[in-house]
Amino acid sequence: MNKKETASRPSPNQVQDTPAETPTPRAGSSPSVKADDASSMLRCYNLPDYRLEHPDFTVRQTTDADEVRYEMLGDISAPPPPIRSSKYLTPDQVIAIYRYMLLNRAMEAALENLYKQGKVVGGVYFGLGQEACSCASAFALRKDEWLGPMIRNQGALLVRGFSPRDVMMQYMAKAGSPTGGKDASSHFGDIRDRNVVAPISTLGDLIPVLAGVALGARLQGRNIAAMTYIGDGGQSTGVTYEGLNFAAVQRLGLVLIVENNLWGYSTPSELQSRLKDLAERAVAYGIPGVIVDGTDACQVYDAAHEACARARRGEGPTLIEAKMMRMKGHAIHDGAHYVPRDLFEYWQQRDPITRLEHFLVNEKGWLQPERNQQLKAEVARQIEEDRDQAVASPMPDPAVTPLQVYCEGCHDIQLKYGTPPQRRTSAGQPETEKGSGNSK
Amino acid sequence: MAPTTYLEAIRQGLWEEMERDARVFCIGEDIGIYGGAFQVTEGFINHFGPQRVIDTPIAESAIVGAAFGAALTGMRPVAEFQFMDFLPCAFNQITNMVAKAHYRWGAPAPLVIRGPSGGGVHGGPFHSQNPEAYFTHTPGLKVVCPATAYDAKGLIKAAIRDPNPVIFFEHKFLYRRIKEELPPEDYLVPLGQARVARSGGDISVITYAAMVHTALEAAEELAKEGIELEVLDLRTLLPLDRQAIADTVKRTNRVIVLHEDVRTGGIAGEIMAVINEEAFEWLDAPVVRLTALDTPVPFSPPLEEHFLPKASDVVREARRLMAY
Amino acid sequence: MPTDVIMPQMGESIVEGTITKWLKKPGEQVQRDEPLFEISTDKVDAEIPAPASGVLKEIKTPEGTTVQVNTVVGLIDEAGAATATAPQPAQNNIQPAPSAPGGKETETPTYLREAPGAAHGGTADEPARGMEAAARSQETVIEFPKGPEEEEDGERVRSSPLVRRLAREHEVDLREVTGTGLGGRVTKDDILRFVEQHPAGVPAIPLPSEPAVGRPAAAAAQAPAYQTGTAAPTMPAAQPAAPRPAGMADEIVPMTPMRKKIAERMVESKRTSAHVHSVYEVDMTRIVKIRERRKDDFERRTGSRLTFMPFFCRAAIHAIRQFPIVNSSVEADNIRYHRNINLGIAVALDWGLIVPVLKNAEEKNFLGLQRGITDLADRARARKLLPDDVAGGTFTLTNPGNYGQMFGLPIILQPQVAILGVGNIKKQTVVLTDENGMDSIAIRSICHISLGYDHRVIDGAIGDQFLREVSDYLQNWNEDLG
Repeated sequence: MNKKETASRPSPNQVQDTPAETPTPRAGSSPSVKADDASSMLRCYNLPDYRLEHPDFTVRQTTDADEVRYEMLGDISAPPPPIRSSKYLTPDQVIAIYRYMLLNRAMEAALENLYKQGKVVGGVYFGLGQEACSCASAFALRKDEWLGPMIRNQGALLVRGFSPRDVMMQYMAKAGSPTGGKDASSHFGDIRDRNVVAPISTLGDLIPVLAGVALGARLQGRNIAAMTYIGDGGQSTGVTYEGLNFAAVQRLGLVLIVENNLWGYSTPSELQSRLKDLAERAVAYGIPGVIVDGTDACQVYDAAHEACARARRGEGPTLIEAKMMRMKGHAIHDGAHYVPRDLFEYWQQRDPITRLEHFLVNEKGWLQPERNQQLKAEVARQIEEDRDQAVASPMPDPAVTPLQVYCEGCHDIQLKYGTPPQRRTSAGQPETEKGSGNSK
Repeated sequence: MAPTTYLEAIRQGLWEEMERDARVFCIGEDIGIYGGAFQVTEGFINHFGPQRVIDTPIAESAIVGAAFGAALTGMRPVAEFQFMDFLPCAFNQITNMVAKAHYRWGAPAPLVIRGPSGGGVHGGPFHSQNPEAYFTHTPGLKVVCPATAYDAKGLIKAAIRDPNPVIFFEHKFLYRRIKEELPPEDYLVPLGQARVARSGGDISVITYAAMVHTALEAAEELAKEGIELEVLDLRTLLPLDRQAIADTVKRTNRVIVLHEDVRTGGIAGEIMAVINEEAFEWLDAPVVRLTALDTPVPFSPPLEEHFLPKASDVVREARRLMAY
Repeated sequence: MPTDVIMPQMGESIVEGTITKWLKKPGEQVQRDEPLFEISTDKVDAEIPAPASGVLKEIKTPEGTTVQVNTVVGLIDEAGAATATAPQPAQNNIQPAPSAPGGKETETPTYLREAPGAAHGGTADEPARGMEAAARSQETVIEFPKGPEEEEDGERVRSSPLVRRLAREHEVDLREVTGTGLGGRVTKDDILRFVEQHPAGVPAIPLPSEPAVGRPAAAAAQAPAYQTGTAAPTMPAAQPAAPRPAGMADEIVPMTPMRKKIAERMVESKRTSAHVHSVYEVDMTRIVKIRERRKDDFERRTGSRLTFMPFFCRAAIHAIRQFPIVNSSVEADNIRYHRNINLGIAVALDWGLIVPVLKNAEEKNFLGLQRGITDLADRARARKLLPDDVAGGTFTLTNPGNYGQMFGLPIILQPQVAILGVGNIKKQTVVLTDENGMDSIAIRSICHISLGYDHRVIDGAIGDQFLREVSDYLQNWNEDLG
């Protein structure tokens, strides 16, 4: 179905509001339904769409003579749009995000080489083409707020304060990795300093957990943003629904970034959902939804910024759909031959780093070419150092295998944000609070 | 002090912990104004406020996941499952997200998942299960099954204070049927320790939860014919008290392992393996296990009665053992 | 030291890869991470970067070849590397980390760090018992008991792990223990009772290698006291007594295991069976004469010496056939009639007593018996008896007459119900009555046989009749010696 290109994307389910409640469209939008439309019994929701282009294409399964394959239908001839200037970021901040993106990509390139040189255990998962989404979104979080990364959000881990060496050691299963070799890839976290929740392999399970983090914070008197991600594939799971619904009904500050990168392993998003825009799911939960261009760091940041602000005001969760494409296979062993080639070409032109570089250097002039080269050299040097250290570090001692299954006094479990409220009724004296809270 | 029921003991324990430690809060379905399907949290919301007694949507994965998330910030959640039969709805969160967190990335998960389990109340297949074996099989969890009011209170308190995730099975048959006088002071029952419910020299009955009472009933009967049962109440299933199991076998040399869970894959097999490892040369007879049948829990009373182990089964097996 | 170039594993289930193209030739410079060769695998084709900078020294795997993953396909010499950095000592070697943070620049992983302010969280419960033990339970070693070979006897008797352990610890031969459990199983109570009451020992007496006839009377004075059925066994004459120097303190000598065993078994047997003894006088003249006549020839022909024992064995076997109760065992309220006659033949040793068993003696003829007896005795003295040789006896013969004793009152070897003692064969004057009723005095070789039997199952009448059968058989011997 062809949709008009509007800045505001109403849901396909359109309801005629009662006359007393005409919807207030967001700036730059226009309602796309008339009062006496045949579908007038349907509700109208506004989902802000920050994109500067609205390509209309779809992927469809088709059968040739002897092959079933995917083909792309639609018009993807338009040139890439410019970066949409951020409402909130200073030039230095944009450059900082850019640097993280460079680091992200260089780290993954090094990982690919390490893998092909036989130094990596297991598989490697790339976020190629998704660096803007990972880095810019995480950039919106405060230090004492929480992140739950998915497998391709390694850039977000860097923003939270982990080093490329940490990630490499994870992949190489080294003793000094954040999990001591107990788990792989980005399955690590930090409850003390960086406030990162480690993912597990099943998808959607971080969502209720990050909602719970926001709950714990609220019980300690703080409204925080708790940010996590889900893919177009992952959002099909039941636990996604349960977690997001719970956050919505409890008004917890969950910032959920739906990374619609068009492919869940080999399954196109068209086979994951009937929706064209996954942001429409926000309607089902009764929460705000917004669409951004996932290859535009500034758009991603702005949406994340606003969602975090909403969270901190206690208004509950936001669903951000970031549109992009996964530019490699599911993992290193997957050549992604099932992706129609023209899609690769289209998204290649929208490479997030190239776009941001162009924006910084050419368009805005915030980054001098020499400084740009310097940045790249610094990044290369850091990766080199981290790589060498990671490669040279030892494998774990088998003796640690049975240890640490249980916490037997090894942790002093501290409150993150402050003392929880006292009990409501005062039958007798109000209790002084137990639990030493650290307000960070 | 009037005797306290098993259910009331749990309520007391939970209340006392919430009073003592502001980090403790309750989360689950219908636990707020309704006070919980079995009324365990009756009165809690009025006293502690809705912030600390949270009614959730019907979303077990979210209940466990959110409890874990809150625990990461330092809180001590107690998540109620309306029936422990619904634990599988959150199986992934429990076994993959929560149980492995400390091992994988050093994040302790000090949460308690509690709720009613067990049969004998004509609850049918989905309200009568003993699902403990799914979880005794998961390193990182602790599994607790109290059999007395005293233990129920002491163990729920200890579970809440434990920095590890504890699955706390409350046997619904015992909720209002057993009661005893409880001491007024703050006391704990340690996790991982079994208790000799009855001493005897002839046969050890190793069991837990409602079956402890079944074993005691059989013991009364057998004492009349000069057979003295020793009843070992395991209280915690994970970790098993290997020492107590070995000790009782060494005292009597004959063992019946008794549980209400189904036979195949039930923890009796594990206990028998422990006996083999710790006390093989103290066995004067093969170890006997008495369990429920390998079927879902049937609904109709005559069927359920046939399904569950009874005191008469214990008596019969004990006599056979003595004649071996 | 050249760096290995290896075939990578491009996926967890991939086991091999094919080199489709080398992008460099030996001798060419190559930078680290520069594409070096191309591969094809089941899942994906890929360009593989060089693991180090230097010169490609050697190509081991030519294009078109398929090799296993992790195979070394080439070598790079790192001399003259163009780029700096990269000390590459440990490639992917598994080096166990020391428990303290090891390796360069590695941090202690989060969970291993000491929590700041180390107070243990305010939790009042103790650390889970057995947590680490459970986690390491694959290291649990089930101790297998060590014991001397004789213990294997116990395996044949139905018991239980507990009973076998107790048997081992108390050095009890389970065959000696009466089982009251299901199917005759030896239960815990059975063995504890046995141990408490000192199990029946081995009332063995020396088996003479020489005929007992004409033993000097002096030896009779040393007849083993246990033959009298007293409860205080003393050492048989064969056992050297400890010298007691005058005027010094009493000496305490610990019992040998065998002595302990004998002591326990003797007393236990007395407590178990209702011992009754009957004695019979047998005129052995006929056999003595046969033996005298035939022994040289017998020895030459068969290689075996001809002793008196097989005569008594044959007679016993014959009598057992008439009175099978004598070849039985008591099991709780049941009597087990043994189908076979396994004759225990008591042997005196320098260091003790033993009763090897001649299995299925009822199937053997005279020669077979003689040979069997000789073999057992020889092996007993040479300490070459197997566990099977001393197990499973159903009836025992003992020869106290070896020392000139007229007859003995032997103790039953549990779980049998009878034992036949053979006394000294001695010339005596006897009164003979001929068919006319005329009396005369004759000199005959007389032997007294004594049957010790268990009155629980064998009444006096049976015992006496059994003895008479034995006696008749001996007195009217007409078997072929083989």
